[in-house]
Parts: sequence; C-alpha cells; structure tokens
Amino acid sequence: MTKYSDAMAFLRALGLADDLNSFTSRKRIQKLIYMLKQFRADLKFGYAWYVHGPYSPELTRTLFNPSNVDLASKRDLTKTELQIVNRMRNFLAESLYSVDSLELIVSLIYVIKHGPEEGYNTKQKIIEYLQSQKPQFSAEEIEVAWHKIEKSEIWKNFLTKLRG
Amino acid sequence: MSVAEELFDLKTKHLLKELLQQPSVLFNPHRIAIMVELYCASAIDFPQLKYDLGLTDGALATHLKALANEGLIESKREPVESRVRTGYVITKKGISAVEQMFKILCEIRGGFQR
Repeated sequence: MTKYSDAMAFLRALGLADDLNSFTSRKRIQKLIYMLKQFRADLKFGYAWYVHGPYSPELTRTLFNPSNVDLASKRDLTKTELQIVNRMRNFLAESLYSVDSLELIVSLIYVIKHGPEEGYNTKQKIIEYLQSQKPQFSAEEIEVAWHKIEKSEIWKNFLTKLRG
Repeated sequence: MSVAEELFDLKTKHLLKELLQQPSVLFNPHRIAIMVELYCASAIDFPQLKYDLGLTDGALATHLKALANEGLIESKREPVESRVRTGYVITKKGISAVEQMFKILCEIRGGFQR
C-alpha cells in the first residue's frame, strides 16, 4: 500500500475521492487530511505553515501527480480507521462542509500547537496572529472556532501550556 | 592542487542544457512565487494570491494567464459558500515543472559547493 492509497481510502469514506480536480475539493482535502492526522489517522504527510496556513506539498505531489504504482494500489479503511473518520465528522459537524470554516479551524489548531515556539504563547497573541494572516475572519468567528477546539480533549495538552 | 581536488565536470554543462529546456514562462519571480504557492497548497483563490504577492489585478491576471496557457495551472470558477470564486489549481505538468526546475537548480548549486 502507498501513501496515495491510504489517503484515497479516507477520501472515499468522506465522499471526496471522485473530485480531485476542483478548486473547492483540493482546498478541503488539504484541511481534512490534516484533521484526520489530528484524530490519529496514520497518514504520513508532513505539514508546514506556508504563507497563510498549514499545507502539505507532499500531499499535492502524491494526490495530484500519482505514479502508476499509486494508481494500481487500492484499499479500504479498517474498522478503527472508520471510527477515526466518524470522530472527526462529529467534531467538525457542519464545518465539514464549509471550506472557510475548515480553513479557520485547521489554521487555529496549527498555531495553538506550534505558535508557542515562535512566541505566540497566549490566546490573545494567537488570535492576533491569525487575524493578521486571515483578515477575512472576524474576531467572533475565531472565538467560535476556539471554543470548538477547547471543547475537545485532543488539543487539551497544547491549550493548558498557553499562558494567561 | 592534488588530483583528488580536481574535477572533470561535464555534469554542469548537461544541467545547464536541461535548465534551458524548462518552460521559459516559469523564469519570472512572480510566476515562481505563484507556482510555489500552488505547489504547497494545491489550490488558491485569486484574492489570496493578490494579497500574498502584492500585485495589481491586471498584473496577476497576466501572470496567471501565461502559466495557464503553458498548461502549468488551471483556472476554476466555482461556487464556494454563498458566492462564486475564481481559483487556481496546479496541474500534473505544473507539479513536474516545479520539481524539475528546483532539482536542476539544486544540482547546479551542489556543483558550486564542490
């Protein structure tokens, strides 16, 4: 099995595997693979903050320029992996269908996890940084996303390390 | 200089030839920046590119058209949330072109360091 077949198995479960070429799908796929990794899916795509959010160039390379070996390999999700998909769906709820909401949640999680290394070590600093990077989102929208993340246990360790 | 320190380097000539075979449309700082952003993100909308690159609508549209004409990117006009947005996606050819260009440049740089 390849990284391509692993990612495609998850995308099939999310109903996104048939449309890899649209602008909206590609934006969603970058964010959803990141979220699946947060929920412990064994997807080996590295993410880094590029200009305005977390992205995986490796995912671009793998999904949108697959090799013949990739195209020949196919697998289904295991029971555990299906549970991961369901947990992620429950967490995201209606945000699963909104590219903008997904972008905000994923970016916020990334800055909560990695921002302290760069000095963004309080909620206020993180929100200010995010507003500077994504002026299209209002303070209220960021606050709603923050509460959603705070309610989950997954990022509790990162949130408790923040000052203030 | 000892024999071990010298090189009979035919590779650089080959690499320069390869570099000259790359799509010439790529060799412009704004177009490289657009391709790098698209390589990282897979898809970006017009306003975001405009904000990131600090270009006018006209200048950005000219660069995007040049890259699209070469088959390196595709433009998409799609409904997102409640409005229609113009976005761009990188093509297979675009992914290969970015990888090839940086591979050649890195190999040339490796030659400088020897």
